[in-house]
Amino acid sequence: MKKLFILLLLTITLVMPVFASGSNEKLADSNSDKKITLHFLGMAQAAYSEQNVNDMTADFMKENPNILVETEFVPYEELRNKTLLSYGSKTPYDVVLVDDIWFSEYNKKQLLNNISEKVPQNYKDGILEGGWNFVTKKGNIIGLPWFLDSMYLYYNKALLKKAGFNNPPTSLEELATMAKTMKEKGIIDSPIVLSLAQAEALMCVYSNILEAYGGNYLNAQGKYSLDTTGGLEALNYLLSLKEAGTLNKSSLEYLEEDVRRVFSNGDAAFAINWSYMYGLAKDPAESQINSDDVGIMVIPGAEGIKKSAAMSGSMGLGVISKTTNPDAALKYALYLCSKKVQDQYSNLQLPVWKDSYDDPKIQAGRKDLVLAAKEAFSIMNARPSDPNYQETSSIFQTYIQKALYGELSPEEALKDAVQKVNNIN
Amino acid sequence: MEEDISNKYSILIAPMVFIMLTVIGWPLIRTILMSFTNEGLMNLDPVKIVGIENYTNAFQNKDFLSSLKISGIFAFAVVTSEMILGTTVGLLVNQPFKGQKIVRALLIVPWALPTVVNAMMWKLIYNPEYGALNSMLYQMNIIPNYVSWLSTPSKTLGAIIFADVWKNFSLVSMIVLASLQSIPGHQIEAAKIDGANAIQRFRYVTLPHILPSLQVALVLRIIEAVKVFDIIYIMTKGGPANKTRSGTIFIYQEAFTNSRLGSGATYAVLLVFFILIIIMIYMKLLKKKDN
Amino acid sequence: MNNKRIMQKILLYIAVIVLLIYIISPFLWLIIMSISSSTDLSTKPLNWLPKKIDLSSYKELLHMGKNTHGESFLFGLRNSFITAITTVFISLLVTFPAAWVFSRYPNKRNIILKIAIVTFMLPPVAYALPIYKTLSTIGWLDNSFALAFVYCTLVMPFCAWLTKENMDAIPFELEESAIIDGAGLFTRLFKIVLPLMMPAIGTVALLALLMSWDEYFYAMLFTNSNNAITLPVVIANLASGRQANYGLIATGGVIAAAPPVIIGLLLQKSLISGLTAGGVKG
Repeated sequence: MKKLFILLLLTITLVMPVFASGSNEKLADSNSDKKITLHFLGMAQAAYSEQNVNDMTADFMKENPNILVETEFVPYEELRNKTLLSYGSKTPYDVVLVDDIWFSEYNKKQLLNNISEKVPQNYKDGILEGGWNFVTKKGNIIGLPWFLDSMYLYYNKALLKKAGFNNPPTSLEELATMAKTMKEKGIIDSPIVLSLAQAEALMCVYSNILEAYGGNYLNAQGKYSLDTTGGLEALNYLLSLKEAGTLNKSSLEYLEEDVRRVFSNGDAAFAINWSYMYGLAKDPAESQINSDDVGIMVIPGAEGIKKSAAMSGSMGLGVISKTTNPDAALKYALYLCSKKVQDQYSNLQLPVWKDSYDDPKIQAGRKDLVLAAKEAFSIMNARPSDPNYQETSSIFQTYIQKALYGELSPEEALKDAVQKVNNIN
Repeated sequence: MEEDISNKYSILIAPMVFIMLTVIGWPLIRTILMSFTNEGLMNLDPVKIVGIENYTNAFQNKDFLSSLKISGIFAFAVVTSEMILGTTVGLLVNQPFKGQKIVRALLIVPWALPTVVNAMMWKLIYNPEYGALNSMLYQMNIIPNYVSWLSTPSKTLGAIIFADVWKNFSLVSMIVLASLQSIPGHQIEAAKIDGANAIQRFRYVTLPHILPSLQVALVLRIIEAVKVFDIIYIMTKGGPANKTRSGTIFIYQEAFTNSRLGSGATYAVLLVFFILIIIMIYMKLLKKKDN
Repeated sequence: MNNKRIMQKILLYIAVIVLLIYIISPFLWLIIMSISSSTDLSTKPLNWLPKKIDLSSYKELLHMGKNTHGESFLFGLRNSFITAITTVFISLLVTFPAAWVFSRYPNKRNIILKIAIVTFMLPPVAYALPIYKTLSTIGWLDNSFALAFVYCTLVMPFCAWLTKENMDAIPFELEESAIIDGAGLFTRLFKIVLPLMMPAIGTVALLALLMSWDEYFYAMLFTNSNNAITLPVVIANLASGRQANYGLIATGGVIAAAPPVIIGLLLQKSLISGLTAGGVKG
């Protein structure tokens, strides 16, 4: 009994400060009751990082003292579910981060406000067209493009040089041969690292390879037909990397951050990842490799098919239709997308504004990234915009992995996957 | 007369019954009703009754059946390992040795660790590049190359089972230990005098004594293991290639990722039957043993 | 003979050491990770001991700043406490009188207890979908008290069963003599039975507390913000792959594990006896 009592006392003393700090905050909120409180749901990622977003938010609150913004960040894997689940709760978010592939679904479920009339003209003119494409559904603007992104091919120049290569590959086939040579010469055991975990990251990598082979998820009738429209070549390519042993075998459990760690540690010569990795791979605090050795380029196309390929992985901000403060929410979203803010926080994420790309300040120290981005955005394609995208994607993820593990032949895997996907659509 | 008195007290049960009806009884009935509809997550379309369509689909769904199989394999493997390891360890720490008290006290650490923390901890340990396991095995020259524990289909479920066994064997061993300590010393002495060797003593004195406690541990563990969700969801989310997707994860994805509450409910009902069957088999076996 | 004894002793100690390593090393490694710098954690092969102790992760997680990791972590800690304590409180309040009736006047009613035990075996996912719908309709998602109410699905059958089993061990004669002295229901329940049941109830409460502290599935579904999100969900979010700071993840784990581990170390005996007490018959 005595022990129990001591324990209780201990717990209370430990917990009290937490309670106290929690309630103080509540008190502070209610004191200024004119204040509008907004809830923003973002994503825990490298760019824009939580810290970045919080700094932007703090500046926003300074400019708008009557608005208090509470930010919250969840991993990408939880972002969509959280948005849908919270929509049903008493405290839905006001502004949410939306991946480009979710806009169709959100639109169908009427989750987001139509803001076509409220977006200022200078935004409509100044932001890259590619951005407006993915936030516009059925002619209505339901979101603001926050960042445009694509996956790039990163290479370690030092390792390439060691193997006698002075230039990066110009095609996927060349990439595979170079990797093989490096492995054979004993320079590096598994030269290529990709994010192929059973997650959306796999779809992003696969989509880029698909794009490089000129393939498409849908056929001319708008039906999923990956098995006959280039999907097979892309899958075979990934499989050939794995079979040649040039692909880091843990790739099948890796997400983007794992890929970054491996590349930044000098344990891979090639990696496919988003633009945020560029800054971090060059940052001595985050990376063991020399900043001059970080090479970036648009993912090369397949030989004889196209020069290069890019698949959009952009995200936008949406105003939740249930919000009680639609104007304040939009104001906050517009602020986060404004040119001033985007230019200021552009060290890991490039702005969505056309003019920024010619700005010497933005280009400084990373001309190769800006050039690659410019090229990527001009050719960028998108994953299918489909209200059932999430389920579709998880089916493809499973079957692509099954093929990569050799459980099914690539032909069977894609055929089964397409059949399944068409059953639900 | 006796009946009268006891009925008077029924009122004392009422609050418990009320709460049980609201949070267990009613949702369960609602789940069953839901399983005959096409109800969605967000109430976008009017709910339609679809009869047994969900059920006929479910029985044809190989993915669901294979997720049940994974739940079954997982439960069988963890429970068996935990019972064997737990009993062995319980017997071991029942021997006299220096530092016995400390070792016995530390036994509770794995069990006390929250499941989520346990899952996260092992995920870090299994990390293919920077995880402790690869580093250790490599430095001890046990493996020539780093192993991708969580993305080699043949190893992933095993790795998760290992993590679960680590946490839960300790419960079994503590229960065994508690019951070993209640064996009257004279029984063992008597057996010794009768000339029984160590194995015979275990078989005829120790085992019958600890058996009831072992059964308790067994039931608790089977119940938990068949329902497994947390540890797998955090370590692999059911991957790679759905190799570790348990029944509960399958249902979660159907209802919340695919936004189909109706068919999710169907799978939940079927899972409940699956669990009830396992429990019934177990009860039958126990009854047989008793006779 | 003597040699055999020594051999046995040596084997025993080897076995104990192996056991000790097996039990301790994973958690010890988690603690070491939590005080290592991120460079120590990403060298290959690993630095088993950190070059210097780095407590920055603890500072980060225990610092209450607007929109920081520390904020969500501390709110998670608070919510976990509120939810767990409320759950235990409701469950005990309701199951103690019920268990008394089940124990003292067993009759057909006791089928309720049997049903309760069976529900304990069913997967939460069987109730989760309608509960989600209802909470969403009445706007109770993301609410610690609603979550505690839902946790009763897990905790209450268990409490009722254990309390009843423990109560069976208290002789009814005590109450009978009190009845002769004219004691009413209140006196019997709270003045006679309750004091004798205190140790058992303490154990039941602790076990229930650990169960609620551990819960992840419902919390993940029904909470979404600092209002009610619990520690397991916060930690799972930290660990799900987009956070590359292994030290921070490990620190979250260590802090979340501390309360149950301390409770366990201090009160091991009563926890285990509580678990086995009734079980022999069950």
